[in-house]
Amino acid sequence: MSVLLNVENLTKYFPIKRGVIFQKEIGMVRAVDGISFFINKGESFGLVGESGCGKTTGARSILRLTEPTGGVVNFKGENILTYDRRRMRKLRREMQIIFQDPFASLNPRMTVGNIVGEPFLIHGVGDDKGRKRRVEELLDLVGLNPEHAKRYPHQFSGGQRQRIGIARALTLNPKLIICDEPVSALDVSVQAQIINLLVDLQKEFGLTYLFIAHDLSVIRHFCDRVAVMYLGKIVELAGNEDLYSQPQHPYTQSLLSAVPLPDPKKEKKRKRIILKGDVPCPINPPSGCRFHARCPIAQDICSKVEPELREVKKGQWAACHFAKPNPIPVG
Amino acid sequence: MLKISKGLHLRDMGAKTNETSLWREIWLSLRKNKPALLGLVVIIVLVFVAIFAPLIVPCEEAIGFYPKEILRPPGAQHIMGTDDLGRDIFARVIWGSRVSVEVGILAVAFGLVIGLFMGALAGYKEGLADTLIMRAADIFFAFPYILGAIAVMTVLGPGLENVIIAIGVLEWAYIARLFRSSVFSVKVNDYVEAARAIGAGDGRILLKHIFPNAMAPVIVYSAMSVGTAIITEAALSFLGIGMQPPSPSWGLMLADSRAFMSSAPWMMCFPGLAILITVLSFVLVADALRDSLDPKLKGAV
Repeated sequence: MSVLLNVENLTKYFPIKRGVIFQKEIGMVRAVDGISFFINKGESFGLVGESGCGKTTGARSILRLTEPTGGVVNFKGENILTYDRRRMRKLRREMQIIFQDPFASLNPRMTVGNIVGEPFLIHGVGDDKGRKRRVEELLDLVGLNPEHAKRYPHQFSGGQRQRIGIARALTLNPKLIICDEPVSALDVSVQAQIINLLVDLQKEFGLTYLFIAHDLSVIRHFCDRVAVMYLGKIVELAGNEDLYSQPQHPYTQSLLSAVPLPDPKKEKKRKRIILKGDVPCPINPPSGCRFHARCPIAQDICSKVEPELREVKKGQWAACHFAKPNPIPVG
Repeated sequence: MLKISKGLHLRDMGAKTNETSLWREIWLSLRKNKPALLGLVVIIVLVFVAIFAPLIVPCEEAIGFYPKEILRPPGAQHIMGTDDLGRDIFARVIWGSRVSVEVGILAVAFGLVIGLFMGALAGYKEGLADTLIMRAADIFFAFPYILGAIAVMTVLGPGLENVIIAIGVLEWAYIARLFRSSVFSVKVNDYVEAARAIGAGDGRILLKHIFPNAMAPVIVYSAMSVGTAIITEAALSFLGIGMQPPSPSWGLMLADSRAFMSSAPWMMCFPGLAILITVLSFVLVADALRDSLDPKLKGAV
């Protein structure tokens, strides 16, 4: 298996400025603070975490929709952060994004046909007739009626709109698709349809997904490997099975304990780990381990030394001083 | 072709087939609004009258000197009467509409060209461009509108072109500020991001994605400012620094009528009514536009 995307030490800081004309920086929001991971070709890689932990910013930095502050993004072995505008534009054919909110991600003044066909125009692919036929094929592919090309986005439901967004992402035959919480704005029954569509498309075209979500059960169903983010950093990275059966990091454990079980008897017996307090402010993250203030097993060392992301077990990394190959569940 | 086995087929679900572009949306809501429709009819008639003025009454009747016809009240021969130089008021009102329509449309168009460009630049680029443009606009806001127009007219001198320039120069700042904030709120939408993700350049993003979605408040404002521009022209002409005699302008006609207010009230009434009806029409249309384009401001004015 070959590596398609390799992200090393990616950071994105947003400066906080004060002043009208003579602005000065008074701080930094460390939205993404040095994340590293790789995605194999044809794989679905999940990125989970609470709101505000930097998942979306990370994804947008990989696509250079926001310019990252530092780090390396290797796509097919080349660091795309060094690309100029023209090369970047060409590269956009190979990596695409599906957005969270299907109501905000489609231009309300464009027809569906124009939305889905716009990438062809931008990259000068085909003639008018060919484009039109291809758009109809794409709509058919995502389960919409090709005749809907003449309609406007507001005439569709949320799930249908998300399908339009998927069709647009597929237009240029990308290798990598970043799915930024593609189902979190949809009804549960529609979520399943969209997930299944994404799985089918992956099989058909050999797509690679970077799948961002805060819903652990969606990730479990969908992804091969998963990274858990907390406050701009990856705290645990593991294969799907390992992560769900033997979570190493206390944060992962508490996240998993918050997923409701469908069996009420099991649910009653289970112990939930309820974290104290809120996620700290990313302007002044806590010293040492960022999780130490809320961690149920924190020791003195946690507030002083920042734990590295280390391989605890084959294929399972965790950023915790106390991660062991066979952890005793916390709580 | 791939079969979507597990997914539900959505082919025949989904709503009506009516299309909605910006202009169609505007028309649909105007149609329901009776006063606005009336205003629109008046505006269309006005534009036709302005264009075909030479076919309605010959120019000589509006600018000549007819000693035998002085100050005739409205009657069969002169339906709006005549003024102190014996000129037919009706002819002058008709020819005056040319000035008003020209000033109204061209001045706002002039302001739009500069204002939209500056507003788009400030809103899209932010940073230094934004600061510079908006501070420059602040300088224009510092003058009361009519005083600003008077100041520009004194520098440029009287005449139709200069009235257009004076109003346009003041108007751009308002349009730029309005459009800038509109661009600000539109450009953070995911569809703009999506356009960037598929490789669209700045020009395409601005023209295809931001402009059509950010134009609504500017359209409303422009309709309103055509009315304002017509009033401003009338005011400038009334003060003697706009259109110069003998050219027929409604403001100039009002100025001429001051001395005959009690002896020949028709001299004042008809140009005054013309201004009132014209401006009111633009306001009615603008208000209806606002209702249809900006649901947040529904019911205002």
